[in-house]
Amino acid sequence: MLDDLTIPAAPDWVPADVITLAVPAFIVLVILEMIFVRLSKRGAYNVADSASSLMMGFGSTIAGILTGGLYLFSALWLYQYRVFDIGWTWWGLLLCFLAEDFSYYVFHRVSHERRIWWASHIVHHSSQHYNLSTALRQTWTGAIGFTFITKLPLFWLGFPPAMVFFFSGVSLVYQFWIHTETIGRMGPLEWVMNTPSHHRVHHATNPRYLDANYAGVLIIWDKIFNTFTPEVDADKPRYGIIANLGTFNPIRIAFHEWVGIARDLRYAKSPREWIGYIFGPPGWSPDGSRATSDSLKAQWRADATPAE
Amino acid sequence: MTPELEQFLAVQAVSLGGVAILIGLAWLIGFRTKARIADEAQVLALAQAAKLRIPNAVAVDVEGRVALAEIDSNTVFVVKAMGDRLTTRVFPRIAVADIKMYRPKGKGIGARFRFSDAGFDDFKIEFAEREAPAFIERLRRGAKLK
Repeated sequence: MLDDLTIPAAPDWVPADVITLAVPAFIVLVILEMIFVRLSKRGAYNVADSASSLMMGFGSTIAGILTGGLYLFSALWLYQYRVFDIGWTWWGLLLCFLAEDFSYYVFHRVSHERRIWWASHIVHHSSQHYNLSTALRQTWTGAIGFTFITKLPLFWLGFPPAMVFFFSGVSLVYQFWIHTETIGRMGPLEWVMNTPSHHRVHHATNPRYLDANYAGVLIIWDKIFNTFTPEVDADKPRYGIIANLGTFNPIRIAFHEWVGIARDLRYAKSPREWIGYIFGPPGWSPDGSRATSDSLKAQWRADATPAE
Repeated sequence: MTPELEQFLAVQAVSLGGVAILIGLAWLIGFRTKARIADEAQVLALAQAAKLRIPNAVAVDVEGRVALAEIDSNTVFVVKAMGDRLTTRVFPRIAVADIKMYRPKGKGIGARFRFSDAGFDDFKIEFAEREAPAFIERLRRGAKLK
């Protein structure tokens, strides 16, 4: 298969490493936010929490290099059989930005709604803080779930791989700065863009906010697919996961949900249970005894509705 | 060593340096607050907030680092200080993998808990009294039987 692979000419596949270029800015912005939080008491940091977030971020770059080859190979292989020759045109760039952002929405939604993908994405949500260091708390195990498959149709359609990689990088860089409590609402930008306010909702565990605001750059996808929830001042976001972690150990943070899946599978009694534990929503159990986002939201709605 | 590998290692070294600077700065600026569990009343309030029934028994670590509450014979509520936050978790009794009792320096008694959840570190809970609360002894016997 490798022999059959035709490497397209530059610039179609030479990727601009947007994320590496942005690292110095990430560091400076974290420092500025720490100082602002200290002076203003708006937002919160904790040294142990930030240390584990930063180590997760560092580890994810190593893991990404070790596992990124499969994604690159898949992209280049599919690009050989592209339907259209889109090329580096202005409308191609615009379409690619929209298509990449939509594919991110799909990837992100699936990462929350199916346990096998949640097992890697849970890492990003496992801090009880919400600040710029949380943005860097990234998974080491993304490749296990082949999460990049949501991007593959873009190569087959004919978007140059380098263009897709570029917009993926832009999206990740964009999503860095929205991990903050220091910025409130942003006026008309809230209508179209993913903002700190929208993303605080996404990281919150309040039942009202569960499984909402999956957007990368544009919030329009959530509005189109009915997963948008606005931040409500009276219901301040509580960050983390439903069953918060009791560890700052990066190894435990990276693998705890995978260990949980393995343990559940060990005691599974039927193929239905196997499928449920792997592809069911996080919290799925054969007897329904564990909490899922849906059950928590249903309980919250029931509690909020006065008894007749 | 190839130039690509050299460049890769250089980027990783710079990243690791950045991580060290940020951790050092967070420490210097003073983000070192440690949450503590004040008393049983705080544990009861947290159990209520988690929509649990009133615990049968509550035990709080002598330094407020961790607290345990027996909700019923099959459920344990754990409150653990994690940096400047308190983490609360509800565990089925079978998730208690091991409990080892020990004598801390000076007076009192301590118990080292291990849960089967990989996302929860082992922890110690210590008491000023010579004997641990009865429900911890019951949990210990249950863990031993598994």
